[in-house]
Amino acid sequence: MRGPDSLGRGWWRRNGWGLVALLPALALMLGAAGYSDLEFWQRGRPEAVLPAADGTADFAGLRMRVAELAPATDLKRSGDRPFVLPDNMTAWRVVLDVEGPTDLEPDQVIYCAISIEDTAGNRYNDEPRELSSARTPLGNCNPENSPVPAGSGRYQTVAHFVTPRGVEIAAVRVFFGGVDQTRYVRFDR
Amino acid sequence: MKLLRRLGSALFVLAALATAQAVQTAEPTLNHARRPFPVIGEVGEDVAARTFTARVQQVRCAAALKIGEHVLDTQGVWIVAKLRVGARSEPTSIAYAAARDSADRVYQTTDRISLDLVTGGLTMQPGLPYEGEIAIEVPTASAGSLTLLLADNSFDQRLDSMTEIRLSISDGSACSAEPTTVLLPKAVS
Amino acid sequence: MLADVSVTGRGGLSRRLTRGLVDQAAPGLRWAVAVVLLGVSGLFGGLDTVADPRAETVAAGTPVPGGPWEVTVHEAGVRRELGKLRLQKENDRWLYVIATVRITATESTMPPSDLLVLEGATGLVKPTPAEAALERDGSRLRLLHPEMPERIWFVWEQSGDAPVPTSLTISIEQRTYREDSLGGEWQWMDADEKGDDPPAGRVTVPVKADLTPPSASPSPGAGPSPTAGPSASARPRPSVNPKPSRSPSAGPTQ
Repeated sequence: MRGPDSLGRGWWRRNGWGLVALLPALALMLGAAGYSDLEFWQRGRPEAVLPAADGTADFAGLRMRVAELAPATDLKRSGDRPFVLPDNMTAWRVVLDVEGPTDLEPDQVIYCAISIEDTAGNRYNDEPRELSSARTPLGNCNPENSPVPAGSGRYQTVAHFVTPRGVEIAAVRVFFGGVDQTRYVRFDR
Repeated sequence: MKLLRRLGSALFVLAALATAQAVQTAEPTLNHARRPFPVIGEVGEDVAARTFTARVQQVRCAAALKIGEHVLDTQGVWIVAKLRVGARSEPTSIAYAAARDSADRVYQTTDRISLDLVTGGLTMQPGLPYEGEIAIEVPTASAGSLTLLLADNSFDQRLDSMTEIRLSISDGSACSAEPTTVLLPKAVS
Repeated sequence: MLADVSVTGRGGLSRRLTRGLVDQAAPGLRWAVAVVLLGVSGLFGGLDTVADPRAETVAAGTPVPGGPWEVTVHEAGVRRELGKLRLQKENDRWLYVIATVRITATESTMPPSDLLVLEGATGLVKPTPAEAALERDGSRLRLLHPEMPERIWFVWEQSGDAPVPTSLTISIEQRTYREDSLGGEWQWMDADEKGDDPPAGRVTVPVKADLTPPSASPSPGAGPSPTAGPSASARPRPSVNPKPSRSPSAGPTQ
């Protein structure tokens, strides 16, 4: 309908509120359509959750801190024979002190994946092929794999890595894929 | 006059339909639109895909493979390429390897022997490359026009980088008649 | 435009709607419009001859194109013993079909386990072959490569209680290169989503029976005896080797 209506209102006056409402509707539409893509994007680049000033971080119902991050020179093969890496590699051990709820049901156990990052931004995963003939525990935040008895919800999780020799480690990353795929705990060294 | 106008509009509809059909057939298919991003290189040079680097160190062809005491023959020729591959900034593996001939036929690496290096079985940490050999069965006539394709995903190589390295074999009929061995993957030290 | 189309009447709505539309655009030109539409659909292939969807039955030795592969069935037979294969029940027998499979797709392809389906054989222990092996070296059928045809033995176990077939009809599975309705990409797939395509073709072959009694001399462990029968030793037998494993290949070599 062109021209003024029976009340003498022009097109802009008649449709003004409708036009205003279009803006939030458009925003809502874009948000709804982009949400899944945004989450997909965030899963590709998870956001770092940093620990408090005392070095402990609370995440996924656990309280954790890095107790040790050092080259592992005392690795053993089966039968207690020493495990020796080639000269161009360094093995690393990360020990996390973990404090979880004491009343955890057995099927409620949370799993994590620990990785380390060097100063150049390269990331290394635990249980590398290079260490497959060394005896190393599973560093997956599960109390059953703790080297110390998991008393009163406190236990340790130990993970091993291998990097080229001479690499400086900048951070330990702990990722709880079953809880949150868009964030991870990052302990900077 | 009226009839002429009707004929005109009928013609217009036909023209619109024909244009739409032409646009639809001219459009690239999804297969083409989602094809891998090629990273092209030569034998002897490092080629960097998104997640890994690869170098074809040497390539040869033979009438048979010698695997332990087994001799595997072929109705064509075996192409054996020595590769040096490594992860870039995150742990990764190569899970797809194939040779493409000049007729765009794609020959995947043989599954008659296990080739961990390029079937996803070997996760590499950044800075710790591996060397090993792969074997591909091709018709003799195709051996002179092969390009080696490598990608990090076994079943879906779309929309991700894929190395394309032209293999330096000029004539499939000049291949060695002697069975050749295939080197196992080995960490480079 | 649709003002004169009544939607209150029951039935005939679409007819009235179409007639209304046509009359609106060109009163009295219904027939002309119909002819034009037919002509247009003809332009885009609507009048093309369509292949008879019923699968043809061909004789042995005739290649049957099945989309990404082409299968030529050569012969079929029944045996008590076949290479190193072990029957689940001593009383059973092997039905085998020898066929050449050529990959006509542009990429290496693993034929599906139901590439060949036996019709007219009863008492099969499993409808898919117990084993499929390359004739030339007895290695198990895996990836086949484009334009590198292989003669393959397809082997089924048939219950000893079922009758020995005198001829077998083998239907050959097919795939169609079509657009995936989910992802929109072109792939070799079942022609329709339900997966009950007609076969690419059927081949009828006589069955060569070679049923030398398994224990003419009563030796119960008939399996490892190397000579199964005169013809069995004459022709190459698929001795299905395990995949040659190259020492402990999984472990790291440092």
